Amino acid sequence: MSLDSRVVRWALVFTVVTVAQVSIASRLQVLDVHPDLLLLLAVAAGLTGGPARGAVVGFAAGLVADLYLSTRFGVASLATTLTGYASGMVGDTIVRPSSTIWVVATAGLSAGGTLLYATLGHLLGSETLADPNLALIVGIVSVLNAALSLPALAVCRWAGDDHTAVRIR
Amino acid sequence: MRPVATRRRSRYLLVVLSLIAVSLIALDAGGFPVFTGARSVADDSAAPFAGVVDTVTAPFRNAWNGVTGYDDLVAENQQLRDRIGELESAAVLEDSAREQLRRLNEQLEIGYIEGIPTQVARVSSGAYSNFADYRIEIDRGSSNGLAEGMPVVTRSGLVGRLERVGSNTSVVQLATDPEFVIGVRLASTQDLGVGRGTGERGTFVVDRGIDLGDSIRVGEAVLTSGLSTSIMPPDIPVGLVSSVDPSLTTQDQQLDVALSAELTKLDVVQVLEWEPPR
Repeated sequence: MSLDSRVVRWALVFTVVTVAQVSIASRLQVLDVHPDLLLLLAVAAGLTGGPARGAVVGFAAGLVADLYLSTRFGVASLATTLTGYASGMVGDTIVRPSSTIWVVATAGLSAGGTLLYATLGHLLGSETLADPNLALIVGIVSVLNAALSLPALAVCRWAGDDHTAVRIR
Repeated sequence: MRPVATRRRSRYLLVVLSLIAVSLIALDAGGFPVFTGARSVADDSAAPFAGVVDTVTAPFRNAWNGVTGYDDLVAENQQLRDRIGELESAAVLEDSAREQLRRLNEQLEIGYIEGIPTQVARVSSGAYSNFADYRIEIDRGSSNGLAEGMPVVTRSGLVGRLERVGSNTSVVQLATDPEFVIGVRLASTQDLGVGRGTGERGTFVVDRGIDLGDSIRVGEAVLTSGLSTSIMPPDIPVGLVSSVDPSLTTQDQQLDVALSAELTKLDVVQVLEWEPPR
């Protein structure tokens, strides 16, 4: 598959995920917390494509998120870039992948990504770490993203043109 | 395991992207105006999709919220029943209260909204962030004559101010935001002070300007000050004092204020076409 074709696929994925996040996911709340599809995209891209892809997709997803957030522009970009890269590192260490492992990894990385965003936001004056619902937000985002992880991983494999469900490392 | 060269390239990419993100943060902190424009364009672009998806998915979202918020609905139903009971008994006192309010307004010369053109706007979405960001989006923008800084109110009182204005949508900074700071005036004593959001739902605090010697009572009405440099026009009701705490360190009294407007269940708001002095 050509580079152009992959770019078109990723552009399509980003468009759909962004629309889904701002129009659907933001309103499907459990205890006032909604899934973070852009973070999920970064995690899934890292798990399926490795650290480089995770960082690039994470950066792009963060830029999109920054457009809709009120924290300093760039905070979400930095948080999801690091999360995407970490996801790639985690993905590389998985020798015998199974659905359960992917789901658990997505849950853990989503929790870590949310905490990282809260920490960076707090360092820049948003008081996100002091949010009384921090544990609830981290927990619910983690569970909701884990629930959506398998379709997200499939989408990222399609966009990245990974022919096999399990990459040969 | 990936080859060493690939790993090195990945690390290099991470460093470059992180540096770009940090640069963006620094530029935004320095007030680089492009980001506000980009956010307004993003808000405008998402609005049509959100509207369509909103309509199509309303039954599913209602069902979802019915399932996940069932306990809340039961509690809310009970509260509404209690409220109906209160209103029925209060109706008897309504005429008397109305007359008292008219006299109070005469005394205070409240010109709330009077003479200022308004635009009615619908709240099109809540916060995109899971963390409290004290923002809502409304479906009016610069094409309707709105501009940054315009006050947003309901019939009950102050909601916030327009922070970002796109062509068809705007983002409102709510009065509960700790970064929302305004001059206020106490209705009966005319004391001037400075108030800000507390970050908690429905609360506001006046923590500067009210001397320890001033006699402030719980239930005192708090209004916008309307001083010449204020970012709000005068006499918009902010709320009622719920508690008074003296602060010996600052030699001021700290007034906790329950906001008049219910900010958690906003559906329709009014934007005052009033721009703060520059």
